[in-house]
Amino acid sequence: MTNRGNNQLGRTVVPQGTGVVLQGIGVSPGYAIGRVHLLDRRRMRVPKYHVSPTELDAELERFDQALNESEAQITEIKSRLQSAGEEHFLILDAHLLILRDEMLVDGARLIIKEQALNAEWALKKTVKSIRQIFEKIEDEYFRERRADVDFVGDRILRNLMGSAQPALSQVLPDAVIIGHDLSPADTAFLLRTHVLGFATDVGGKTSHTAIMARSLELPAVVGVGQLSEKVGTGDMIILDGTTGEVILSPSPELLRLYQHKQMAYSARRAQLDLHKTEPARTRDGVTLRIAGNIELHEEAMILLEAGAEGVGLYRTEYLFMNRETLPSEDEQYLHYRHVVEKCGDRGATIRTLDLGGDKFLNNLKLGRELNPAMGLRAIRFCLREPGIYKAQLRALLRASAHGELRIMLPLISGLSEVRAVKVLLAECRQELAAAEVQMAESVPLGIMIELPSAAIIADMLAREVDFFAIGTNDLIQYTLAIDRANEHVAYLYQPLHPALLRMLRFIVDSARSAGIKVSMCGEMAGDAFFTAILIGLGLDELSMTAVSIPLIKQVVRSLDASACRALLDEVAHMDDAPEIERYIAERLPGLLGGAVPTEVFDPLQHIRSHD
Amino acid sequence: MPGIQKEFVITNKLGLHARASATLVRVATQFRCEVTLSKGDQSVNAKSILGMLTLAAAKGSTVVLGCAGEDQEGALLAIGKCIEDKFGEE
Repeated sequence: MTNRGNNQLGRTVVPQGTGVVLQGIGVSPGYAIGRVHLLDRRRMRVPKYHVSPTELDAELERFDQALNESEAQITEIKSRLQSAGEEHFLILDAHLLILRDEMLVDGARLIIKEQALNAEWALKKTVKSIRQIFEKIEDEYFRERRADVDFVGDRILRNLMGSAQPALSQVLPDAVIIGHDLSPADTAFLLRTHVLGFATDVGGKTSHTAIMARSLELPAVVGVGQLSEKVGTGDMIILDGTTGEVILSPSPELLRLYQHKQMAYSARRAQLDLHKTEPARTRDGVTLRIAGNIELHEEAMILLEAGAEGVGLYRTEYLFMNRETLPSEDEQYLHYRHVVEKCGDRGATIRTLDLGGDKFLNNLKLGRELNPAMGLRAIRFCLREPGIYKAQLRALLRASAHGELRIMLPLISGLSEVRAVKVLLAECRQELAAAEVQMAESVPLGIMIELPSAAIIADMLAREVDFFAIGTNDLIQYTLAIDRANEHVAYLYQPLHPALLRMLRFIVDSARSAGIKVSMCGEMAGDAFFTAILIGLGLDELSMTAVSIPLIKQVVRSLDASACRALLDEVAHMDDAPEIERYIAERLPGLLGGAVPTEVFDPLQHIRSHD
Repeated sequence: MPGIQKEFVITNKLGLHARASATLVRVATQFRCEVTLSKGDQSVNAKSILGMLTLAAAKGSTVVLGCAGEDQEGALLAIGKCIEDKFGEE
């Protein structure tokens, strides 16, 4: 479970005295072994001094000179980037304008002149005051533009200080890039060079560096604390993008060990990819549908290429975020239709608006809630705003004319919500039929089982709906009453808590008795450690991010469903989650029969990560 | 300065984000007149990309474009067209 120990697979026990091991968050799997190229901004100590009146003109001249140099550098990177992706090109265009912006330039000049401060200090003060303006902006996208101001400011600063560090254009081939953080301009430039991997001091799974690394399939580790202060350009370094380990100054033996791991890993990944489009059928013939989770309609294609057998969870709320007006019914229809058409008869399960809690819509002035996780969100919000909700339901019904579409409802706590949605759906159908709009004759309606109440009455719910999807992230959080983001209680995040195992069993059995399908779409579904238990429970479908699909399919193909059921029966009698995990970790290698190489999945690693 | 004004609704998908702001700034800086963009009671220099970004004008925002100076008519026309054309985006 990546949310807990940050690492999951293949950690090596590093002998004492053979290098410094730092722990970060592995965000893009694989190994990078090479020499550091340090992109350091934060380590520059900004000089602060007063300038005498006679030297003010020279100081202003020095500032102009740094602006000119910065402009030339950004222009040069930009010219090399013509083909590397329009988005980066445009970011650099904005950086060029920021570099000449009156708020920045006139602001700094004024401080130099009026307060007689040196250019570095004046620049730093100006950037800080601009940042403060951005920090007050409510909209996340615009607030985050402060990072662009920082990147431009840092570049000018580097030029003012004569830049002791080599610039990016001097990156040697096969370098491992280390920085406090990487700017979009940095990563865009790196697209064009041959680098082995990235590691940064800050960041998380969804930071720019992480996303970029995954799309480039380069290993990356983020959140390594003070990494950039501990290494220098030219140092040997090893990154393990899976476990999040970073090894500084490795011994020759350790280097050889990791070179072997790297070769084995690449070979194994390539093997997995060969079979990614084959079905996930256990050795004794039980087939699981392996589907994918998406947030944007454009991702459907990536998923299908990774071997997904359809979309198991399309989170529509991203269509509603960071904007001032709601997406129209037509706009929604086009997005849903795109996904449905891409999936064809493989099918797409589309979840209706799940807003609230950690997500919010700019234009809906919802009052601040003391406890948003338990507040007015998801289906509760939709049923209170039937106008908004019906537009989405109509868009979904219209899209159903173009392929296999299923509608899924989030955060269902009981039957009244399901029935209320059915009434709205019937109204939408009538409205569309009256306007002679095409739609599928019947659209399956399913629900997320993510609240303990829904799990406990799963037998009743199963009679009213066409399918279940278990959302483990919320189900675990609400059942164990733990906030995963709270480091003090994160250790209690136990997917195999006996209470959860009982619930999962009851949910699946209820679905089975009612003759409906049951899938799982939380993080647990994409974590190879849990696959045997999920097969044992009898889930019909697992839905996950694209990158997990080839591995999970291979794990399913290596297992025997009857052995998985036996394993579940054995752990069902145990009363302690850590004990259950240890037991599974010990049993898994035998169950997998060596068919899944430990280079790509090591069950014992799962246990070690808690130590 | 007297100047002229016109109201617009931002209709491109991402609002006045970095790319759209950059496009607008590049058009505005071709004119000599003062160009301001206002949203609610906030008014910024439309020749400053940082100013434009701090306006945080998402899709659906109503903004007032103001031009004041000798070439104000041409500026209002050109910048207005740029907004109405959704900055060449969707």
